Amino acid sequence: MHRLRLISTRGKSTLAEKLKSAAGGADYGKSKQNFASGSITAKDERGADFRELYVMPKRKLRGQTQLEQATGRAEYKTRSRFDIADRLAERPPRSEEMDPEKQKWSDVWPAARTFASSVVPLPVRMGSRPNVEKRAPFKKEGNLELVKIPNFLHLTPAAIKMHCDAIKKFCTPYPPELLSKSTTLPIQVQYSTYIHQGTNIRDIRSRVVTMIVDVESLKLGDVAMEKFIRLAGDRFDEKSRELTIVTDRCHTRKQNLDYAYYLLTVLYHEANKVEQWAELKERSDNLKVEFEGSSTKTKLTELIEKAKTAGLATDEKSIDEFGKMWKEYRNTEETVETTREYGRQMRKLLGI
Amino acid sequence: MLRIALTRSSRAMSSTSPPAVSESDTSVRKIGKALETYLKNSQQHVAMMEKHRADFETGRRHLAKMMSLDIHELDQAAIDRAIQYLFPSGLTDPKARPVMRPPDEILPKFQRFTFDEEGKPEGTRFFTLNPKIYGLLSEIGVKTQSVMKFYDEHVGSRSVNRSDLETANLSGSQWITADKMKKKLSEKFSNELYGQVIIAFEHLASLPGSAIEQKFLSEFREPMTASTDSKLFGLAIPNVQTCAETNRRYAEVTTHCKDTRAVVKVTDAGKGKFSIDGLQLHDFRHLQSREILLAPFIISQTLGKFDVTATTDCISNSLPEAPNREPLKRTGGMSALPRAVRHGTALCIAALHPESIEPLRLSGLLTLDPRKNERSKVNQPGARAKWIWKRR
Amino acid sequence: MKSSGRVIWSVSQTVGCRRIGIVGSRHLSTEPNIQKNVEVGTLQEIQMSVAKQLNMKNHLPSPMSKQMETLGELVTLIRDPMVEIASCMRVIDKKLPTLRLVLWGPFGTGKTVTLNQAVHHAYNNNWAIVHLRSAMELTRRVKEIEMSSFVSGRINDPSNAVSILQNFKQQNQHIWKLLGDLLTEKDYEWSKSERTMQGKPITEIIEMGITAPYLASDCVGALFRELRRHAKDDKLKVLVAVDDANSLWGKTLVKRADRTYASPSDLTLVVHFRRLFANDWTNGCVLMVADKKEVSDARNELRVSRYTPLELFGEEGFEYVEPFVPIETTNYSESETDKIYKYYVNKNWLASKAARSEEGRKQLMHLSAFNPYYYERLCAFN
Repeated sequence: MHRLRLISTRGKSTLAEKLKSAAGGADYGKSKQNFASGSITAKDERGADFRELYVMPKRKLRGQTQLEQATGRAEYKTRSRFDIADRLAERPPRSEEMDPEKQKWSDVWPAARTFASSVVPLPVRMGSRPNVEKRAPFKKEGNLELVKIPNFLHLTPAAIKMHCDAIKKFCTPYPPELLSKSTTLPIQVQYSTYIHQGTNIRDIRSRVVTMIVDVESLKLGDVAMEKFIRLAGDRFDEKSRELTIVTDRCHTRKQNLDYAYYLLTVLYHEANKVEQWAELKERSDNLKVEFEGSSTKTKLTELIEKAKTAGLATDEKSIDEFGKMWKEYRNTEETVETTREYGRQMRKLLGI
Repeated sequence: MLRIALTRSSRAMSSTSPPAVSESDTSVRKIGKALETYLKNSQQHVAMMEKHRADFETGRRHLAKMMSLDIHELDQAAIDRAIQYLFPSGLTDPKARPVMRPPDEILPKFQRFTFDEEGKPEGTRFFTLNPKIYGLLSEIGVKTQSVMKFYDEHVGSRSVNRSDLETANLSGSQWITADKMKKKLSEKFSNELYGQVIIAFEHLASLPGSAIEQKFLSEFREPMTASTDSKLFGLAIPNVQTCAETNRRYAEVTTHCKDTRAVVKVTDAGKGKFSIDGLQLHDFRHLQSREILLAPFIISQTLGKFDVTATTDCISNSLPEAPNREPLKRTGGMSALPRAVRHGTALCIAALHPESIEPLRLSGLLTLDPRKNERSKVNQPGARAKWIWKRR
Repeated sequence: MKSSGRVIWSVSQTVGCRRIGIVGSRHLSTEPNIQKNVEVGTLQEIQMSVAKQLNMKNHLPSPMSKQMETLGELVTLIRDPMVEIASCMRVIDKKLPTLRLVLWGPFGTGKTVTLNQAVHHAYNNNWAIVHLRSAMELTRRVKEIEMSSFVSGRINDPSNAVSILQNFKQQNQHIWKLLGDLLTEKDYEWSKSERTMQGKPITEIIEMGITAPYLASDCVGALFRELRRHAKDDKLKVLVAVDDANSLWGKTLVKRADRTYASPSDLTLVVHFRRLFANDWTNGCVLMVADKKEVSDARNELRVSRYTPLELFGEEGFEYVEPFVPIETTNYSESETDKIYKYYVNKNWLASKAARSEEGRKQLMHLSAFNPYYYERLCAFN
């Protein structure tokens, strides 16, 4: 059945016609056809069909064939192959009929499709082997590996350009503010999506939202800024002046994002409020230790005075420099280097 | 009759073509079957290569058109990039990935014999079936004779260097293995034949005056502790780099011990300073830790010549855990950190100071300790310890 | 006088005072009586008799004190911190408020040893010495307590107070007569029965405290007060040397009646020492050591604590002690290690052949990480 069907589709091709005639002679099947359709009509004067006289069968008789075989003059019919129909049905690969200069690849491969070795005109090979020099990688015909890996033959640069050109009329221009690096937008929201190899698409981490706010853009006053920093606590980074809010207490990402905005709003408004008990703030409540007004400064100035009278070569002018160094020393992480610097400045100050 | 179809269908498969080699058929002389087959194969190979080259050229033009590149700027690197783009394969084995190369590079080479017009091979050794190794043997024989003659002539005279009259210096190297020799001569031979070649080589090398054939002998020698240049097997000695600002050589390596991963950087022209996670050597209170850290320097006798900088972290802490769970704090114990840093230091010293590779290797400092903490099992107090066993 | 084998290191004798004209560009005072051979890099020998008087056996760190007993002599290396202390001590003047120096540095670099060297230096120059072995003894090794009758809420520590007074007596034998000439300023009523009248020598206070432990804490306070007063009057110079001084603002193990831990400011001895540290008096030098014993956990073998003064004193202590001059002690340099090595070799302390070889010398140096404490321990076993 299959063979018959194949023949029938190919029957429309002129090439097949030629081959058929080459295979079986010009009148292969014609006599039967004609007889079946009944085109030969020889009638006598009374309208009856011509009845042919049987004299001899219309074939070579046994004796004659034997003679011919014996003498070696027999004509042997060459039989065609049993699979000739399949072989005819088999067409050469399409890649051979392609002309690189004239054809457009996106016409050949417009959409994503599994690799078809007969269509792709590249002599690509794929297949590992223990000894590289002994065998080349397997060719593309019948290569399952090339079928298994994904291919981007539908997304060549030309095809992408075509797609982009087609979509362009539906797009608005890219905002120039985002292109120029000078303007930084104050709020940055980060969240992640997770994919898994498996049937489950969920991941508990995808509800986490991180919001990074540039605090300078909130334009808070000094007092409000200090209150803001106290309220924010660990979330505020001094060096980069950024507030980082990480929320994951709600079930969905949208809820967490709303909560982050809510926190930001609350922080801002609370920072701007001035309470009555804030007046009770003392020097020891400061976030940072200041040199001005510290007991160290008073003691130091006294010491310098007395040292001067005692005859040491003190250096009062460097007390401001000392104050700056002292503030940094007290308020940042103490290291060996900062202590050494403190020692140096102290010695310079007292003239030792 | 159906010749056209037949040629078409046999194009893809390199099947046996009908014995249509014209010259040998029509010539009167009978040539052997082996030669006939060889000639047939050779012609087939040539035809196949031609076809493949043509295919490759067409493929190049197609690829250039596909990737909108000019055909002239499509060199092999560009082809590789394009294939990587079009066929992204996540396979880790680079030999398994799709590749598009000219057939000269990728197809196996065809062994060519040279024949004259009569069909006779060019060398008489062809019929020994191992021409190249017998050629080597006769070369060794000839050289042996010439060395003995040289020595006899010049033994007392002053016209040649003293060093030429000694035996060849083959210390620190060994004869190449049979496999390597097969590759070198591109010929297969039996092990007995290989043994004979080695015997001949040994005899030549033992002769006085064989120093003049030093070069010939060293072509067939390889160094003793052969650096196989394989990064998978053997010592994982890092490469030496130079710091741009200070112009000092340094080597950096990542190793682990138990559960501690260490990234160690050893710099040349140093004073023996240590900075391990910001700690100095005197911060390691136990003598054992300091001994462990200094062991590579003591063995390679480079105390105080190098500076060491290292950072460590816990491997199991960096593995992905469930988001709400606290990572288990396992660090591996008191000596794990110094041992990891010691291994890294030894590898870096081996890179910066190659003379010390041998003592370090013999002391075992270059070997990674693969042992990890064994898990403790249920119904037992630990990994191996059991509860007190009572007979009844 | 010395045999040729000892030519390599110079030994400075501590007999008498010798004038040296070290005039640094920074000092303006050239007091003639504070002169001593304090050269950097020399090995200084302290006579055993002096060491005995200064109670070095208790005050030095234990390995050093054991070495002193084994070798029969006390030889230490004069390093940079000592020279700085000596130059600071030279500057002390009756008009200048007390100069406070804090010795800080990583573990085993010679803070306590330098302190003892400074005490010896003060002894040589006839200073009064107030030397406390460790302030941790006052806060953490309190055997028995008594509530103070003088100020309510304060806690007395009789045993420690007695030991302080005894130590003071022993260490200041060289100026005992001078101390005997100094008179008390006012009446001291220790209790209903005991009292010391005005105008008596202050040595009586000391005797009083030693004989009556329950009064000793108050005697200590009175003694310190008198010392401060007399120093201000330029009768004598005082060196206050306190080891582990940062413990005065640290943790206490003294329990009050209601089973809570007392804070250090509730302990009388701590309060007295803190008053000594205040710079309202002159003509004195306060030498403190900031030691990590206070903050580090003794049971944790691997943890590395910080050793910088702000960290160790705490904010409160730091602000009290400021302004001070921090003096850093560091690990040995190669030349210093060499000197110690040669000394040990001379004394046959380094027994094994391997230790005496060049390779051994280098290995000892590096294996100890140039740390004086580890170096000494390593040499003791080689």
